[in-house]
Amino acid sequence: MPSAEQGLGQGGVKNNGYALLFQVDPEGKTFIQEYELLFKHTLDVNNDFAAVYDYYWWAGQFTLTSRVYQPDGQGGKQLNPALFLSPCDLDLTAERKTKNLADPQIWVTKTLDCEG
Amino acid sequence: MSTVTCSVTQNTPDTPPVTIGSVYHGTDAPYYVYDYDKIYGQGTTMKYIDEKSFVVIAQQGNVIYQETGVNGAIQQTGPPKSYKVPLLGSNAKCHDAITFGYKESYMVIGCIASDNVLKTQTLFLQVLDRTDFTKVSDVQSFPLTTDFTDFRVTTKLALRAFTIFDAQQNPVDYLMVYDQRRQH
Repeated sequence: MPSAEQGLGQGGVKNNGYALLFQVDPEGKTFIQEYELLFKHTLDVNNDFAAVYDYYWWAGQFTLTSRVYQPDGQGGKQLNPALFLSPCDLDLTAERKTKNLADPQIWVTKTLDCEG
Repeated sequence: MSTVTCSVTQNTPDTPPVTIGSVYHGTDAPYYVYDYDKIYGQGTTMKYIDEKSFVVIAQQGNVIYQETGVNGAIQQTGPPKSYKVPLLGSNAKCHDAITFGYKESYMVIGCIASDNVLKTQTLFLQVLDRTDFTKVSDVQSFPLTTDFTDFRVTTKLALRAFTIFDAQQNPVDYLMVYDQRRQH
């Protein structure tokens, strides 16, 4: 039985919320691999999962939000209190890193550890 | 069938509204039935794009773009605009379609192919121009393997686009890909 952490990158936790972020080239024709976003929550890996919930502009800053979900076993879900990332400074102009598709490298993981 | 009229009125706090123009006057219908699942098979979904258009996402990478009038009737004449995203994998399927910042007519289609044995997925992104629904560029594929990312799509891939401004105040468009999971 693999552990919950097996195969996951640094800071990765099974069932945590992930997203991929691509910069669009200036002509809008192609996507440049940019970030793997990890929404780092404290989870019961056997029950909970996190997912991107919404995004918005907050105080002039692009803000992503994620939430933790607890499946109710009946196809529905219950919500934990929302975990917002508004304190996070997701500086999209910093740490920008392009990927050479001919020479793949590990995607940049931007850990958003901003529970509150 | 009834008639609906949408008009523009103008008034001040002390005067009643006065009609100054008509936006639409014509027949109304309670709803339109498109029956796309009968045409394109079960599992076909629709995605609202804006007040005048929607996309039908069918099997095997087929996507159909439709424009409508204000009453929901199909606006364009002739066959629907369609495109088949060249996907690899027997269980590949497109999930979402959105317009994005660079050009009003540009649209990106997001698709996923899953290898249930290797536990890997491949993300496909296809940019189309909805004026004629032809490709703007070749489809791009991104392997979602453990070597690259822990991101996986468990239920439905979703796309969001947004624009930020860099230090020189130049607009930079981004596309976010995430798993919609079960929150909706």
